Amino acid sequence: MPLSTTMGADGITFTDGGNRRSMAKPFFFRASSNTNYQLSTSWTQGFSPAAFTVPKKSELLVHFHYPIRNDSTSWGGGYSRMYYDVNNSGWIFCGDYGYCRGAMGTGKAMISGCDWINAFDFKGMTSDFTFKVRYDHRTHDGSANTGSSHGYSNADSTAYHGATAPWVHYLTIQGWQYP
Amino acid sequence: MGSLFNYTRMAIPMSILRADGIEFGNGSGLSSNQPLQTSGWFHYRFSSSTGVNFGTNWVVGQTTGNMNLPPRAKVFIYTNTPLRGDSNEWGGHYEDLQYSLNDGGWTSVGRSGFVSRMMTGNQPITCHTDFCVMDFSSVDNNFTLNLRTLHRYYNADGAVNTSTGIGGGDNNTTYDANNQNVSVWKQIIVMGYGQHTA
Repeated sequence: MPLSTTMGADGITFTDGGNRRSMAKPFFFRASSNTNYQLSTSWTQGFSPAAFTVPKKSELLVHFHYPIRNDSTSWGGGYSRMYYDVNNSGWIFCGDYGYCRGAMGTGKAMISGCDWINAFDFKGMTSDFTFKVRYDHRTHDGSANTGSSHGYSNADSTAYHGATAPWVHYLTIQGWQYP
Repeated sequence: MGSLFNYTRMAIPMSILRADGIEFGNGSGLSSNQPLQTSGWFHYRFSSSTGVNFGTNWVVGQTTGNMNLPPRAKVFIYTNTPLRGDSNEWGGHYEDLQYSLNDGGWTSVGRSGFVSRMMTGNQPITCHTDFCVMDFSSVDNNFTLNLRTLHRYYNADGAVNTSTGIGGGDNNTTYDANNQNVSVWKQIIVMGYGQHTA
């Protein structure tokens, strides 16, 4: 029986693939912070970890979790924005995440969390590159914070997850490289 | 001396290339039950900025269109739905994820409960985030998968995407073919791979 799956220098190719994707290495990054960012109705820069080096011809799933506390009993709210940068060429704006993902409602103070997931397609990148992200925040009205008085607790140990500090701002990146 | 084919049919702990994928010789638990990987990871992203009003009847909020998937795919689905509806009643929102294989009929994976936009006296502006994992291990050929979400309220009109403060980003595909300018609205992300018993 002839082999139609082949191994190359950069990965494995399903030559009779049909709908099958070829494959190279998966990879994983993470970054976290328990910094408190005090928010107002003006944009404030929040979590922005150092750049990661991403292998060429990759796709990424970027998952960021953060808390928002707004003690206002008017609308309150926590707007957020995301930016990304490739090879230090300048921030690219990914849009406003609106006031629908954090502590937005009338008449009651609100504390909530937000999960922001982006899928990036860097298969067209032909060389390894640096990648960094940045999240900015502001309120609709009143003052708020992301990182204080959310009731987080420290972890039992640093084993495997890297820090005893709670995962207040937590970024994970799953990626797959293709041959 | 037997052929390579016969040799690898013995319980020898080695990995081999086969016509239909890679057979991993070792493993435990789930990885030993399904040691044949028949594709690398696939990955799709769909966004919709269309405002959709929902009431007491189900309405379609987003349809992905067909994705091309490998045989026996394991599929991970993530959905995120921005919601608004200015009501001091419970309000609420049900979401139903449905799939269609090879342009067949729609099948529901079950509707969510009223776990989002559900609060009295508060008019919450919020979103519904959900996950679903599907196992197409009985589908032996390449196939297409189409997904859609449907929406309705618990007791007061609401809307998807409308007046949620969302604004688009830069229209930039210099590096990222997905162009994140629309990623902030309603989104369905799908990823997975083909896997099977050897």
